[in-house]
Amino acid sequence: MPKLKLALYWAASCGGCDVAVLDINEKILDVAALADIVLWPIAMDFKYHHVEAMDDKSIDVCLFNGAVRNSEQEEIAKLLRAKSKIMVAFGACACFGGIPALAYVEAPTNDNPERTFPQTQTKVKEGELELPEFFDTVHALNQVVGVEYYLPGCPPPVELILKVVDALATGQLPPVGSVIASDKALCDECLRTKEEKRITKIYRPHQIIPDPQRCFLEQGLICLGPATRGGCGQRCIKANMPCRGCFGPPPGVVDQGAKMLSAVASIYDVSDEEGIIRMVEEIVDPAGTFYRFAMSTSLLERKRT
Amino acid sequence: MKKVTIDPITRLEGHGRIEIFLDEAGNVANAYLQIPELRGFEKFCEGRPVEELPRITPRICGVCPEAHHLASTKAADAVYHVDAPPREEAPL
Repeated sequence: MPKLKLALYWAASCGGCDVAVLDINEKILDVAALADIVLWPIAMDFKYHHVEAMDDKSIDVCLFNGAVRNSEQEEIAKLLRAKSKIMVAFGACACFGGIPALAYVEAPTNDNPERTFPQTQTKVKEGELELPEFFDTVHALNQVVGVEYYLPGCPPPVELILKVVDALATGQLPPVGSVIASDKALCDECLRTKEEKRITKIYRPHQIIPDPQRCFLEQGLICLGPATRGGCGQRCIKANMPCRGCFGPPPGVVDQGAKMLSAVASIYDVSDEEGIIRMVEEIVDPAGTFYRFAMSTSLLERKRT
Repeated sequence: MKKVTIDPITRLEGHGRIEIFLDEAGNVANAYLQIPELRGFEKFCEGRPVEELPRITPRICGVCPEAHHLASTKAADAVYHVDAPPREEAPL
């Protein structure tokens, strides 16, 4: 069987997804046996002009991580889409916008009195320099190009990365559009005891010492389990930290933040307006918490200007 | 002036492009390093609860997340005037 051609690229990313691929440890040798890597900026010296010279659809799989928020990232996403048979949105940023999409929430000190903006052209003594156009919108990959598969997580866990490697090795690919994770919400795989979800107060994590055996929400701690797809092995929960939703919304849900808002409202035992106002005030930073990883794919998505 | 472009720079974390301007003799007149990436952590961390920053700042860099995690954890400890518990008392 001829070796597959594999490309890995990063847009508005931190490099963690590329490091996660290396976290498969000795299995990277299986990947090397299976595929020729034709682009991987963190690890190999291929340049953009190498990709431009490739035939269309000559790359078998492109693992694309990072959100798209400038014109270069959009251009390379489109270039790789043209050259690749399969595009995988790799990691929370490519799947849903990720942490960079928090840029949507206006900072308290957005002070720019001199109106300084990034410039695409800059004249220097020797000539001219160009920078990509900086968008005011943070795109998930599928908002820019067609995507065949989604691998969520920040970063995706090694077990799921290996599932992708296995699928490529055996040629047994799931249906197009699949999310390579669980088909259920995180609560389903969470091993904490769940009794009755009815709370009268919401705490910030440092205000109480959480019981490591009990559901966080039942203790009044915000946990995005009900609004998050499972498959991560509940790694944060096991470390006694509530979920913050890096696997994106569960199946059937488009807007993760709205789903979480609905979940919190349904467990809060309050019926009078004063109680509702108190509940709302107890949730510190709802936008930045409920949409921590998935603001780009919110129904409130900002249109590009 | 002739321009040599290296795009992208590789085998490090981050995005970069180098533009090298050559004079008539073919010697380097000047070189520019450009960073075609901006995410804005300095701004979008404003307004987040301080106890959430140890879970946000590690996403600055996937190669050195521990450094950012520890820095923001220490900052949160300083905000609340607390010291980390001694190792033998830590629950994990």
